[in-house]
Amino acid sequence: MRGVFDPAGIYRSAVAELPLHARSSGHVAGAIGVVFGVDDWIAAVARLQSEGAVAVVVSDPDVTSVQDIRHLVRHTRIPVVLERPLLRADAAAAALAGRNGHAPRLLVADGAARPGAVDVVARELCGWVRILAGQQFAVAAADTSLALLTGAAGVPAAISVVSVRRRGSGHLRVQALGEVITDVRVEGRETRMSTSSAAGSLVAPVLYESSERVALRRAFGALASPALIADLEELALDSALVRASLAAAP
Amino acid sequence: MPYGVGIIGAGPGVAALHLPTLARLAGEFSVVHIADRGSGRAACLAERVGARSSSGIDDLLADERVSIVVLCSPPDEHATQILAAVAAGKRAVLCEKPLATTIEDAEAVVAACRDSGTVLIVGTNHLYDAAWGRAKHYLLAGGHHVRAAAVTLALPPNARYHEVVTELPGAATSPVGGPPLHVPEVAASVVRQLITGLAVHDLPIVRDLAPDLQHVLFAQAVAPLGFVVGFRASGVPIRLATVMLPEGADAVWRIDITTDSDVIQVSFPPAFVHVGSAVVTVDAGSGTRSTYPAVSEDGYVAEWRALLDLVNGTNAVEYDEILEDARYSLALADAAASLILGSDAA
Repeated sequence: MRGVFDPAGIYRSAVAELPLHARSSGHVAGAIGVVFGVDDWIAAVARLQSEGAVAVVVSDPDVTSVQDIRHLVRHTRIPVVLERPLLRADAAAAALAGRNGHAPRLLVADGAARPGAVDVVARELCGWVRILAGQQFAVAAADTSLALLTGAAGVPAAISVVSVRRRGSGHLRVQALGEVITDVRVEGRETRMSTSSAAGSLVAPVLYESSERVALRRAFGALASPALIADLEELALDSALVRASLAAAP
Repeated sequence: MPYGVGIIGAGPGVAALHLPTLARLAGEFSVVHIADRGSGRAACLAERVGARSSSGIDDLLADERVSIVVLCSPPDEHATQILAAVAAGKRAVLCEKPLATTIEDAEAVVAACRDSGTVLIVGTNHLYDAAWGRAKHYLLAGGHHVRAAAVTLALPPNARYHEVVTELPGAATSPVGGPPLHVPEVAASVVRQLITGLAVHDLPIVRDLAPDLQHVLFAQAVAPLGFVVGFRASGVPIRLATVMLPEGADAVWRIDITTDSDVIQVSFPPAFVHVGSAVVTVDAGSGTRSTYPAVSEDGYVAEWRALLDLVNGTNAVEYDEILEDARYSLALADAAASLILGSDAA
């Protein structure tokens, strides 16, 4: 049983849904700290670490500078789990596992969101292609809405993202195309996936578990095996890619 | 009395596409002549449908029973053959994609058809698919502004679909490898051919959404055979992605249109099959998803019915639209190929 320090109550439900592992705590020392990923969440993570948190969960981290993320990576000694609702760790793992080792030939990722959310959507699209391709990407060409990325193993990925008057946190569609096709659709907090091959199409089960509970479980797992978590490093990769492409284009 | 149809070419596009389609319109059209270069395939197909066969195009064009000429020949022969059909006084030409391989040739054939009153239609069956009409109505009726468009194709070998609509003797196996795409000249040529021969299925629709081609941002060949292109038209970012595969999942052929509030998806069935129209799905910003059911008539049949309306005079040939569609796809293909060559030179 581990305390969860969550003064804002963001993870109240998740704590209640993990009654054998979690309990609410009014003290950060020795607890898992929860940070709402707005404003200067980087500083909030550092502060919780300094106050004795054994791990930190960041809920829905805003876009922030790559430099700040890398600084946090270098100065963090505790697991930091990122809850990325548009790029759920459980969904990503299931999508990749469904490919059964088949490398994609080409990836396409398209997103649309209201102006305040489009940068996060762009970042998560980059994350999805990184995960489904199993490789890091570099920018080959980009403007403010379109980008061509080239993977380390040569597979290309085309990304498009536009700002629209759409409610919610965004619409994402990612496909890893090849002999095996992975199709991921994210609409707000709902992620749907399917995997198609010559044998047919398999639709993944609906993800009924909340993304908060997933993140909290990962934090508990990281306490046992810290090497499991590389969320900050991955966020840095995805953020750097957005900065080098869509965000930076003239 | 059915219109007599003469088909130039005897490849899978004839055996697996037009002949099964025309069998569904036997009251309106009758295949009376099939010609190719003398491979024997035309004779084989003609015998099956009770048509005459010949080698070359002269006998077919001289056949008075032929009023509609269908071109299923190599793309670089289309322009010459259209002009020959016009000179032979044929009533109509259905030209498989592309109309021509250069803008100059496209202009010449459209002018010739317009001047002679020859009905001209290009085999862009997706344009005639009832689902596209529905999606277009949704956009227009709702006053939606297009913010982005994407066309995605992942195609297994066509033989999979040929097998369910025809019987082709000694079907060739698909090559596992592909052309040497690391060679820029090869990559550029492949991308150009794929745009003019495959993307052209959907570029008339793209042009409907974003008519003013501005610039190509990126273009790259994709192994084993495919391409990815990103460009701007009418300020709209457009992404085309195509990969042809030696095996694997069923075909993906989809257009996604993002508006200010909705994402409209038009999913086409695989090529060659007759399972009805595409399916239109609308993901509204409100969170609702609406799926419009497919209609029983597929784009191939719809395209032939459109031709019937034109030869019957109940509809008018849109020569300017045909020409602009050709200009759009050829300009895009040329720009993409130039970018591939230029990026290597840089």
